[in-house]
Order: sequence, then structure tokens, then C-alpha cells
Amino acid sequence: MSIKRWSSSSSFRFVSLYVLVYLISAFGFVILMFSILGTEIEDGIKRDIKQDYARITADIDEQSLPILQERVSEVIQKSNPLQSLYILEDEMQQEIVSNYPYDINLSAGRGHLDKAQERDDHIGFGDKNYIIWSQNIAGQTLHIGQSLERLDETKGIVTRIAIIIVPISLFLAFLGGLIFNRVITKRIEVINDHCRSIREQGDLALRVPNIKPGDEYGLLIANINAMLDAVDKGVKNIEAVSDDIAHDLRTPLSRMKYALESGLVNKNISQAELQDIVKTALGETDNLLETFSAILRISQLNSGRRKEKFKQVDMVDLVEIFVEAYTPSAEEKGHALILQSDSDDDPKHAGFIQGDKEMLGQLLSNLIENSLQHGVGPDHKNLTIKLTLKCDQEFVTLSVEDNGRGISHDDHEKVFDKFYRGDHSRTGTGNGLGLALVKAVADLHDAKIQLVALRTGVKFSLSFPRRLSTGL
Amino acid sequence: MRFLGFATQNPLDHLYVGDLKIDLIKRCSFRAGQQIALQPREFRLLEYLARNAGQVATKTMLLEHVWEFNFDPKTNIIETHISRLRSKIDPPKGPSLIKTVRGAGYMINVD
Repeated sequence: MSIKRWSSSSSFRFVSLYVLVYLISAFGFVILMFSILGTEIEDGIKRDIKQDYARITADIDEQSLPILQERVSEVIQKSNPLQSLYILEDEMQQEIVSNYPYDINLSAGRGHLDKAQERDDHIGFGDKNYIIWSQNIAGQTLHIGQSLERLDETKGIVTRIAIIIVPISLFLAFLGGLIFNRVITKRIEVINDHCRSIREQGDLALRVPNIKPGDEYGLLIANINAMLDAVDKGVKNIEAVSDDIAHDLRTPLSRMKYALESGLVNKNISQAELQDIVKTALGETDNLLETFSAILRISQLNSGRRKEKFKQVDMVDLVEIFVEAYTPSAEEKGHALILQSDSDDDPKHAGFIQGDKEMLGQLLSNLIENSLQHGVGPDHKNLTIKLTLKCDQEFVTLSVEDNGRGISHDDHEKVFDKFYRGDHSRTGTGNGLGLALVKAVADLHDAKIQLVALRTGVKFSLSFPRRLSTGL
Repeated sequence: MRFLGFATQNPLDHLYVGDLKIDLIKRCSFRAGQQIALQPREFRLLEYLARNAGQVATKTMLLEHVWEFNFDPKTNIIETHISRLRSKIDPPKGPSLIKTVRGAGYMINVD
């Protein structure tokens, strides 16, 4: 992998951020250690000084002041002035005994523990800091100082540890990040490589191999593969439909061409014959236009945009209008159209659903016409088409059943496909789009379609949910 | 679609076309003084044709204004509704008030 690609990859940014956060936290940790150790060690030194003071001044009063002087001289002899300072002053703040060779103004810190003032190097007393405790005893003042060397030493140790450990763990963090990056990029590369070859070769049958289907990358791959499945299916469907369209449009077009040619070839054609030819050609044009508008309507539905225009639709009302509209023409052919409503007076069970009134109307029209056109068998018996509306709290179920010749079981799956026609209806009218549109409208409304073969005839049953699912 | 001047806000009480009289308030119709019993939808069909007398009403227009639906029936549902209406409003023998305009639709003649 080139440096440029590596530096632009998301895992590189992740590793960098990780290292940065690690550095900040390491510094924070060291600073915290310093301050905790500092307080702890200072408290320890203060405790030592207080014990020292209590030991030296034990049982001292005004009569035994010379004993105090002796004790201080003793401890001075035993101690190193670089570690411990002892200064005994009289009432006039004049030194009586001291192991500190210079004048020192201690008045500022008198009576309580305090950090000693910084001493300049030129004093020649090392560069040490002291904590000084000063207290009056029987008119005299005893100052005891303890070097802060212990604290400095500890801080030095902590610093040394930090200097060794921080870079090592920083290196380990970086190394971990690198390994992490390699693992992730490798899996992403596999996905990328496959996507690229699918795009370049245009082979929609290719799939990304899914080695570990459980984790996030497995899910991503599963999603990509599912998407490819859908695209593949869609493309195949488009191919099949284009074939069907070409086939379906060729027949009326060639009939039209034949009619027009015959009009042109025949020189002595009469006005009436010419009229007939134009009428035939116009009839074929109507068929073509009808097929086109049906295709357009289905694709418009499949785009899902119509869902935005959904309004409350009363299915009871709608079914009544369509039964009334189709009754005369059904009766004219000797068929019967019956409306059966199962709904009671409970307002919760009214026929309201959210939907597109126009599309639902087209659906009803297609279902009724499907029965009227395809239900009649060769015996030309009179049909009874029964529409039923059943409303409960969750669904409004519309059923359209006829007692016609039915749909053969093999066709049950296919009747909703575009341009599909059962064997017996291949020669008849219709463009094979009627039930495809029914399916498209039902899908738009999240309705479930059921096709039930009856002893005679067929029953289409559509359950419209009252509440639409959100999302697609 | 209002290019045919279908005026729904028309404040008229009655429509007169030839010897046809339509009472828009009581929603009943008379032909040569005789009351004709019509189904509500048939009345709306007649009313629409009468309001647009002299103009052709296509099947699409009738579906849109009388049934208030915009759909493509493959069955001749409009033809059968028109022929039922004709059988109710026309005298048994004689020309029909509603003319068929071939390839276009239907209209009521004004003369």
C-alpha cells in the first residue's frame, strides 16, 4: 500500500488519533503522579519534623533551657546540615546554636510549617529546598528544617520511569494500530476489489465472499450481496419485460403497417374502404397507447413517490361506486356483480385506509375486469362476481371472487408478473398488465395479496393495513 | 380540467335543453313535461351532459366528473350507462337526445 493511500485511509486517521490520545493521557498520568507523590512525601517530612521537635523539646521549661541548648548541640553534631537544619535563637532573635552558616530571615514562616524560601546558588549551600518548622519555647525560638531531597529523588525516579515506559508503550500502541489497520483494510480491500471487478466486468452474478458473516464487515458484505441480488433480479426483470414489450408492440404495429400498406397499394380504393383502413390503424394505435399508459402507471407506482399523496380513503364508498359503475355492463353480458359488506356499525370497523384513491380505483377496475374478461370459459356460462369487504381493527380486506374457469395452479405465482398471460388468455384481449398493476398498487399500500383457487373460479383477497408501515 | 367551461359554481336552479328540464335543487328531471325517475349516478351523467350541451364529453371526462375517478376501463362501462340513460329519457321510438360522436364521446344537441 502506498504512503499516500495509507495516510488517507480511515484506519490511519484512527491510529493517529489513538496515539495522540494515548500521549495526552500518558502526560496527564505522569503529572498526576508528581502531584500525589509530592503531597505524600511533604506530609511525611512534616511528620518527621514534628516528631523531631517533640523529642528535642520534651520536658523543657524556663529552668531547663540550658538542657535544650545541649540537646540541640547534640543533634547538630549527629546530623548533616545538607539534610537537617537546627537553629536556636534567643528572645532577641540572636543565634545561640546553629548548623546553618549564614544569616537567614526566618520570620516569615514563624510558627507554622512552610516551604523554605528558595536559596540562591551563590550561598554555597547546595541548591536544596527545605521545609522549616519554627516554634517558640520558653522565650527562645527553635527552627528545624528538613531537606526536600527525598521529594526530588522520587520525582527523578518517576521521570526516569516515564521516559522509558512512555516511548515503549507508544511504540506498542502504534504497532497495535498498524496491525488493526492491516486487518481492517484487508477486509475492506476484499470488498472493494470485488465491487470493482463487478463494475468493470459488469458481471452481476459475482458476489463478495463472506468469511466471517457474524461481524460488521460480514453484515456489510451480506448487505452488498443482497443489494446485488436485487439489482440482478431487477436487471433480469427489465430484460424480460423489454422482450415482452417488444413482442407485444410488434403485433399491433405490423397489423397497422399491413393495413396502411394495403391502402397505399390499392389505387382504386373507395372512400369507405379507406375509412375502414384508418379505423383499423386507429384501433391498433389505441391498443398501443393503452399498453404504454399501463406500463407507465406501473413504473410510476413502483417508484413509490405516490405514497406522499396518500389520503384517507373510504373503501366501502369506493367499492360501492365501482360495483355500481360495472353492474350495467356486467348485466348486459348476462353476468352478475354482487357487493357483500361484512362491516358492522362499529366506527372502528369502518372502511377507512390511508391510500391513493385513483390507484385503488384502478385496482378495483382491473380486478373486476379481470374476472369479466378471463373468467368466462368456452361454455360461456354466466358469471357471478362477488365483491366482499371485511373491516376489522387492523385490516380492510377486499375480496373479489368469481365462479369462472379459474387460474391453473402453475400460474398462481406468475399472474402478477408484467406481460404474463395464462395459456387460455394468450389469444384474447388484454396486455398482461392488469394484474401486474393490481400487485403494484397493493405493494404501494403494503397490502397482502392472496390468490385462492375455488372449486369453480378464483378468489383474489387483498388485506390493506389501516396503519402504513413507515419507511420502505 | 375546465377547458370546456364546466361551471360547477353555476347558480342556476334549472337547466333546459330542448324539451329536457333538470331541476338542480330537487335533483329530478323532466322530458316533455313527464318526470323521469333516475338513479343518482344517471342524474349526474345527464346533468353533466346538459351543462355541457353542444360540446363533446369524452369517456375520460365523464369518468372524471360523473364518477370522480381517473381510470382506464377496458370494458364498455360508459356505453352501457349511456344506453341505460337513453332508454329512460328517450321516447320508445324517435331520435336520442344524447348523440354518440364516433371516436370521441357523447353530447346533447342544443337545437
